[in-house]
Amino acid sequence: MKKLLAILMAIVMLFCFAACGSEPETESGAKETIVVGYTIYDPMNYLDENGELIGYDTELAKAVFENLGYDVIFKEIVWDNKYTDLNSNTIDCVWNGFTCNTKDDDGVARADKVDFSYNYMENRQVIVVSADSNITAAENLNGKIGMAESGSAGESYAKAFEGITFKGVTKQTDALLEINSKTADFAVVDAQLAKAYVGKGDYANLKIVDTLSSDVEYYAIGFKKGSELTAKVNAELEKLGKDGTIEKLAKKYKVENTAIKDFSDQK
Amino acid sequence: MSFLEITVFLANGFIISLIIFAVTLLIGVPLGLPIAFCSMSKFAPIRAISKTFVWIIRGIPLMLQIFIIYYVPGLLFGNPIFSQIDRYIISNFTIPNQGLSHLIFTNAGSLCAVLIAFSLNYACYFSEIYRGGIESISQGQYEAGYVLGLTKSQVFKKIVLKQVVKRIVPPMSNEIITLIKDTALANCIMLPEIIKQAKELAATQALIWPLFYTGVFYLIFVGVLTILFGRIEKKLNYFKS
Repeated sequence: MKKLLAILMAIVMLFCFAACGSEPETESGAKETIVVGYTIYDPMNYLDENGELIGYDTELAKAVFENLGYDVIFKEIVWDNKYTDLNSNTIDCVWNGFTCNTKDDDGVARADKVDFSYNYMENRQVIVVSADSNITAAENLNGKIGMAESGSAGESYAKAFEGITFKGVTKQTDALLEINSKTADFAVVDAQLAKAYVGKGDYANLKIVDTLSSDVEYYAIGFKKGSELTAKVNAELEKLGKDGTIEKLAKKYKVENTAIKDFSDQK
Repeated sequence: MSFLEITVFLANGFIISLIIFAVTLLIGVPLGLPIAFCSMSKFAPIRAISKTFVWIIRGIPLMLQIFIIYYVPGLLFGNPIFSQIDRYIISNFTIPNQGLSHLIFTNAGSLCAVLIAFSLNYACYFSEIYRGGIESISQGQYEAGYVLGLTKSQVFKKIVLKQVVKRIVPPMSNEIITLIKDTALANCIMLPEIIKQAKELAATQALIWPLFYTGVFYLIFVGVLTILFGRIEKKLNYFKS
């Protein structure tokens, strides 16, 4: 109880300190801290059984920023708020399977809203249905209810089908829950995530409809427009690709087929 | 994860809910009083400012207020205070890898934003309850006090306040019970209170039932509060019998 009180007092005091505002943000010599925004997304960013954050994106982000001499913290965000988080400097980058070559719901390309690093992974949008569903082709989707994470590439993909009713959820995994609870007929999620979840635990009764997958799209790291970090991170990615770190990580998280190791053609 | 582990995992989240609850009461209950006095002030400009403030705070959804407080410093003034708090803590403290202190340390910034939003919001609601309580005391009682030679502050302390306190207990207990459930709104900026923790189990362990199990935590706590308020009401049963 005393400990808790001490922590609370510390927070209150810290707030007072921060509220002064005029203090210099970092003392010279102290390491700068990078805040990486993420949502729980197996195998990119997720928790192991000890509750520690791991995943391909997590470890790659750590490696890149630590090599560049920064401290890294990971902050869970609401995916819908990613642009607000970036523009308000609440986070410094979105490193969370962020599809870069797509448009948002407002028709504006994502590349016009944020600065992207090199593409570091291939991905597709896939359609997940319950195992007893008879959806196999696009025309079966007519009149069905589809779910995807709001503001995701999956949302744009789902909405492109004719006659569907779209509903948004805050996390990709929530979209899978909706099929389980029969509130949705199909969910559109990233192929990476679908492979990791479908058939596991409470998602055992789901299946992926292979015939309805989207074209290849790419993941990249998103920065605030004009951020100096983009170039630094790109250079570091190239280095890590050459020295085999990326390959090792990709094997560890079983994404070696889709992870990009050679960035030379993206310069 | 076993049932016990899940209970502990959720309980950590519920402690965050309880921190929001406790701090909001600690700041909101006293802060409501000056706002109530300003709303009853004889000086019109103060009254107008206070009433406008209460109107704005009561008129905007609490969730939106949390967003405003969390994002506006960064968006408008280029100074993301709450993110700065996170950065400051991470670079100056060693953070345990898991458990409650991990949750608090890594979310200190968003916790501060939520505490400010909740305290302001509830202070305004409380102020209106106080105002109602104070204005319910009839003018005759003040006059009787003055006739007996009591000063203005004596009348307030010895006659008015004692009746106000007992009259506002039922509406206050109502608000306080609402408060513990409102803490769930904090998950709109990903503060790991109990609902957020349960959603995380759904996302990481593919478990859905913990989300419904969280209701038990709220129910037990509200049960304790209800008994407590029942006792307080009984204790404040003076002036009767």
